[in-house]
Amino acid sequence: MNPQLKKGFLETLVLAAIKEEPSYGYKIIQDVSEVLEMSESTLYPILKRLETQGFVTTYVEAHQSRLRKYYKITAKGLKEIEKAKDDFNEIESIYRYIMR
Amino acid sequence: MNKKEFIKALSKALHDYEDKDEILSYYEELIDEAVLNEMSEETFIFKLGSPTQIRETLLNDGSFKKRLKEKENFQVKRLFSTTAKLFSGIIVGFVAIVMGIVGFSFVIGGLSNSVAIMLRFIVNFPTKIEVFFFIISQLILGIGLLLLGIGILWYTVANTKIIFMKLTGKIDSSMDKRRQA
Repeated sequence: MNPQLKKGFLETLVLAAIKEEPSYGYKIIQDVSEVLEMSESTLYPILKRLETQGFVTTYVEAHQSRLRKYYKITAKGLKEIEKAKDDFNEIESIYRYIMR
Repeated sequence: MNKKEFIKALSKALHDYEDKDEILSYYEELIDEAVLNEMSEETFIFKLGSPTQIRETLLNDGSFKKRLKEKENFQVKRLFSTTAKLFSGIIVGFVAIVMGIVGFSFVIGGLSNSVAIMLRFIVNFPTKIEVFFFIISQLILGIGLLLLGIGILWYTVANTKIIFMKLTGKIDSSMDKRRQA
């Protein structure tokens, strides 16, 4: 996929990956990669950005004697997903136009 | 590379990053999770890419450009290191040339002397002094070869170093450009 286009989608995909329940780095990569391939070093800046924008909050929890950092979606983050949903019709018509 | 080595290398690669520790623990956690998921530590670390690549990825991300620690004396340091590099380059070149010249003349002198004395041996049996001179000329030849060898080696090493410096210099300036952008 076009890297520019991919970049825009990845942020929403990460938000969607933690929509149901909080998740952690390794799992987010696995989940998102099922739809769109994402590397470990791409995720970190995305998470950081989502955090500074107030779309996610983080907390640390012990897991098998290790610490795991969880990312939890905020109300603002959920709203962002809704916004992305609104884009769908537009994106669809863009592609209809491209592929005609 | 194992986890410890990787984290150490990454820490070095990200030394000027504000949230270095956070990034390090992010990667540490990822490696632990991968191992927990029955993946080989080495394979996973290989998949992560080199610390330099990781740094590049972070730098390419718009919001991360600003996260580099500002170095106030950056320009001064640069100027200093450029001057130092130039000086060391001149000294290295000078030493190499001197060694080359001295070595070369020693080789020529030693060789011609040895040959001359050897030719003399063919004519009649050498005297003790002649043998002594022969040994001395052989010695000079040896020293000459040694100096020439060191000189060539020195020159090669210095040149590779200069190429290396130029390369790193290029990387430095491209990073500067990126930082300014």
